[in-house]
Amino acid sequence: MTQVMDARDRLGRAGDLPGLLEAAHQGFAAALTALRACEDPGSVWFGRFVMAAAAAADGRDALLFTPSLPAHASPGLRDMGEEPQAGTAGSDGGEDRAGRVAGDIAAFCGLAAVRLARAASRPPDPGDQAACARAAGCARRICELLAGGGT
Amino acid sequence: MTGRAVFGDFLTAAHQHLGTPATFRTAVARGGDVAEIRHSLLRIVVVMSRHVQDTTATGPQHRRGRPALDGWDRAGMEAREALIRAAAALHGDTLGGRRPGVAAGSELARRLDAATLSLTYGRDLLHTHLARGPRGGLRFRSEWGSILTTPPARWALLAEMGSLAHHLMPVGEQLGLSARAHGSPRARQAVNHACHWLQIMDTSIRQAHRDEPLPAADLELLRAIPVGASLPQRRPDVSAPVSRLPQAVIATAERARHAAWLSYSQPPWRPGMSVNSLRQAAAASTLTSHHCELLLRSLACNQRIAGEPGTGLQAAADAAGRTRTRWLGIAHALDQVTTSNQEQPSPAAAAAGDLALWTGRLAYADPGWTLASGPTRGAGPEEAPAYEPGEMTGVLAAVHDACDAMNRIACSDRRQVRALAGAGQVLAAAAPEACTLDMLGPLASARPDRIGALLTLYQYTAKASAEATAAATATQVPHRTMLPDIHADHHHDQELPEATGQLAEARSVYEPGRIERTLRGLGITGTDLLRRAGDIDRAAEQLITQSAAEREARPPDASTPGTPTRAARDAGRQGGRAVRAEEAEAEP
Repeated sequence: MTQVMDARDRLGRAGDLPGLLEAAHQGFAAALTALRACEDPGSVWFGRFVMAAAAAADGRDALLFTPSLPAHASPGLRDMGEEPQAGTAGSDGGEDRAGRVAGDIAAFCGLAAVRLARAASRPPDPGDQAACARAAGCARRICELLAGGGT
Repeated sequence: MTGRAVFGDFLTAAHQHLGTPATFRTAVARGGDVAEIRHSLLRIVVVMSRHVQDTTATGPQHRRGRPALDGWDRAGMEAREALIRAAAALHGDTLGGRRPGVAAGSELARRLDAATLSLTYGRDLLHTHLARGPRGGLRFRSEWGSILTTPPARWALLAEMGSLAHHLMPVGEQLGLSARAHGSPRARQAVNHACHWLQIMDTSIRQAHRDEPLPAADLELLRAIPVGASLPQRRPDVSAPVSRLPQAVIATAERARHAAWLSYSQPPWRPGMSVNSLRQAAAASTLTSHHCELLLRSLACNQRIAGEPGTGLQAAADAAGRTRTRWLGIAHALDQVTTSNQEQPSPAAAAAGDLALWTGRLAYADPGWTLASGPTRGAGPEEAPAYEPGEMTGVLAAVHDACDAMNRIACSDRRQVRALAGAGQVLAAAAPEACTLDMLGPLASARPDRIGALLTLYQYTAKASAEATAAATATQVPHRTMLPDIHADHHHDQELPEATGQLAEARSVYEPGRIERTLRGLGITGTDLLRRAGDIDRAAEQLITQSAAEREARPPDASTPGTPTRAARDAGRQGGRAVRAEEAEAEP
């Protein structure tokens, strides 16, 4: 399971705001790392990945300063034992891998957009509220960019 | 290309209204009421005088005790004086004034009136770029304002007025010979006298031209100044034909250029500035340069098919490719910093996004293309649309303007980064070993070497964009007017080897080491593994630095002469990094 999908699972299971923020933050950071790893000007995904990476960094930053983000949030997630993918970027294998990465990130961001938008309407702290709304916007943007498929 | 009025339109119209010298001579020979002609001549002299006063008001002034003006500045003063005297000669109590809307009776007066109107509109156009501040000082309303007050633009305007004076000066003599001209001797004398002053003005400007010839490009730049109305944001119009796309890119590039100019001309630091806008601009400009590269490679390919070498276009495509790499380097660096402020994208960042959108539509020849669409076919340059030779001029003009806009965005954003850093607003992970992108853990103001490296990346990105702009111009398929840079000290010369080293060093601050890069290349995105790889890279770097330092400290060994080892050079670079960061800070 990739880190992005792990973050998606944690997001789905999060029962409170701190858990939700932590999972969403880690998801954005993992998405950013994955997008940067797959950037290749020869790929059909290049433009979308570059724009989505900027939105992922913005989403991560939006949550970074939320008052309710747990102070104990540890740097980095545990390694999920991802399998190195064969193929070079730009080849068919690279496009397959990029397509899978895009699918995973779009799935995470779809859920994040819904859960963060819902959370934005509830927290008592205006700081959390504004940050959740901004991060939800970033997640929506990434969805728009990546959910269209590989052509 | 954008259908906007430019100053040259009005200058051309003025000359056309006067007609060719032969037509104008015929109009003079046809005569008419001299009082009416005198009045019309006065009107055109007054508007010419205003133009000349605009040029001299922003130039050097003659002061007692200082050396006399020479060259074009002297010609400007003499032209102003001559026009004042010409107007004084034409003024009088027997002027043949007409009510507004009533056309002149003679052909000559009608021609003079029409030319006057064109020159008045032209002056109004130039003044859309300038304004007066509350204390009467000159303020620029656009990037063209600063161009208008430069000596080449002032002298070009003076040369244009000299050309008009040359056109008008035969009126006095020829009117005297015309049997069909009727009027008092005093009116004839006034016209004669005024034309004498126009001749003096013409002589003075011609002398300046002989002493210091004005490049044709300066005249062209003056004529290319557009009206200063802000262009509306282009909305997607899927029904628009592909042939209109270059025009849309040019208009969008102009908006981006204006937004960058506005950002650059405002105080650098203001509350609400954030890294979000910088990120959006960097990502969008990566795409814009990618699209420009695709277009240029496609055009080069077409030229080769047509039996031409296409080397100029290939060079321009390479330059656009370098610009893409540089912007992407900035985007990667910005992943590793943040600001506590999270704001909506600035107008410049939004305009950069629009530019990516419209260049994408042009690159994929699809008016309905969006950033979420991806390539409509393959991603390689061979898959880009084959524009017809007739469309090449428009496409190249669009690429030129897009690259120019990116240059200005890079300059403007570099200034923002410096201001943000100066205010301690650029934050990075405080832990020196942090290499993952989650940014968790304590944050602190980014170290000077990181800021210096970021500024260096912007500096070289602006340079790469300028080179791409120049390369697109050098293809000479279309002619585009080169606007002066935001920085007067910005040079477009080729990168020297030390510059390449400086850029590589700046990139290395934000880019992973060899082991981490290898893991990323294998598709590893797990943060634990990447963190361990980063630790190994840093340990290796420390080992090399330490070993090199020990080697340097040892007494020289006569048995091993030659160049310093790579390790020693790297160690030297490590030490030089902080110094270069300081230099980047101090740079204007």
